[in-house]
Amino acid sequence: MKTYLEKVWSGVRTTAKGMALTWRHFFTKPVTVQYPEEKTYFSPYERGLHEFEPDKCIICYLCAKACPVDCIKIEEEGAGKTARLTTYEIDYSKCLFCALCIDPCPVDCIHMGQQYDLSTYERGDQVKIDFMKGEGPWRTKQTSAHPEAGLPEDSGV
Amino acid sequence: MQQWLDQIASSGFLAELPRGLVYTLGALLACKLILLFVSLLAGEVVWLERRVAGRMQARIGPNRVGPQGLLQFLADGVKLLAKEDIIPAEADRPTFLVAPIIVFMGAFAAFAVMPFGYGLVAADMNVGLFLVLAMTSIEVPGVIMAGWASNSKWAILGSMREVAQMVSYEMPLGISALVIALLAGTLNLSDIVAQQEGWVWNWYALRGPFAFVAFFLFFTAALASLKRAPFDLPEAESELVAGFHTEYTGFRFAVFFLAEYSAMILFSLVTVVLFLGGWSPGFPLDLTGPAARWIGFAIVMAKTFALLFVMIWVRWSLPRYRIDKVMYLCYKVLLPFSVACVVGVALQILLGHALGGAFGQWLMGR
Repeated sequence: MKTYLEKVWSGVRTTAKGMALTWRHFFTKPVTVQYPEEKTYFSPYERGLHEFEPDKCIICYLCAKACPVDCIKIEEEGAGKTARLTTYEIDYSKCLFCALCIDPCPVDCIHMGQQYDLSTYERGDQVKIDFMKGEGPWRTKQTSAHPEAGLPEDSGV
Repeated sequence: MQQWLDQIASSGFLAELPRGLVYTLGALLACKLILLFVSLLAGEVVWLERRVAGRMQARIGPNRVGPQGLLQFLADGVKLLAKEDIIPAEADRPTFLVAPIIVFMGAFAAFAVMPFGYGLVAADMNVGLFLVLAMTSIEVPGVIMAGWASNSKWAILGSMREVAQMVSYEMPLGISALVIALLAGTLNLSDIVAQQEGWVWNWYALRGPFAFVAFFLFFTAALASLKRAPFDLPEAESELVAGFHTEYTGFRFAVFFLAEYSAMILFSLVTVVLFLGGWSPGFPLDLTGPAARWIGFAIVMAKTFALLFVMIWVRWSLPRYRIDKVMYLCYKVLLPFSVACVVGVALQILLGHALGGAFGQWLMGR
């Protein structure tokens, strides 16, 4: 008889204990980030969509050669010192965001950017981005996602 | 309600019509009103459940559809209506089709006798409490029909558990309601509330230790017969997919869902009416006037929502029982305790008779 009542009491007590715990949790602040309106912090070294500085580029093709999946397509006009860049296209259906194109660049004109949300409404959109046609982000001080961090000297970490 | 109907029926063009027709139309209108009100309320309870669950898990919960997500149930309803209505090839067709209607009927019929405020009751019956307990048992054949007709082992296992559980928990539920029947001396729910008016200690839950314990026993047994967690064995997702409504889709599933949530509202209302003073705010206040009864209605709703919150809170706190533990709790804990409460309350009433005076009146319950 004693153990029966003890069991009943312990049942009541542990139920109350568990409910007290959830009651406390009810008043904690939700950790949810309401995504499209709010965004979480990203490291300045986040490997998102590339950012390109076309006026720095010397058309050396080192990035295209470094690319393990051959997704960078470069076209130029003229030859030697008068050469002009006409196409700098990255095929994002191939790109694996490895940042290997960043390291070999002798003039630091290609960087990994902050834009991670690459979803689109049309299948064709944003698959191949030609930076020379202004389809992709050009990096300046203003467009840098973390202007307070400045432009990293070597953005290829 | 009867006086209102008489008044309305004898005024204007309605006086020309046969009285029986007017009464039938009035009854249909009352049915429709209750159905609409309870369905909308059930939708909001689903929203409340999801929001509270979210907050208890440090999430936010649905907040996109309408202000604070209040219209989420409409979006869910439209989604369910757009789904394909599947009847399994091997199912027992007529039984399969009739089962959700029976479950739905059981959950809704009892609202006819629920006093939402002074005079705000569709059918003021002198067997109200009995009718509530009887109507909620109608769900049992509906559930076993659904489980059997689905021709699925998950469904039949779920419905067997459900029936075992509901039939067992009818006993502590009925016996702890008997405590109030003894105190009140009536089964008419409006009269039961009327006897709890005045100060807060007039509420039946606070009239002595036995009624207080009976309140918790009744609420626990109600949770079990609602198959809410921690007694949600019949639809234990991790074992039985969804229990007896595994094979139901689209609107038929929505009907089961609606029935479940309106049964929640029903049992909260019954608990409020029996134990927590109905429309009594806890201090003497006359709520019988034509306008004041709507204040009473608001008080009843506030108390009901408090109890619904507790149900949701329990669900998101406690883990599911094992089926033999559910039966243990019913037969070895709730049943003896509720019988002890009935005996205790009978003695308390005798003591009240012996003592007399205001305190004796309080002990007697009327």
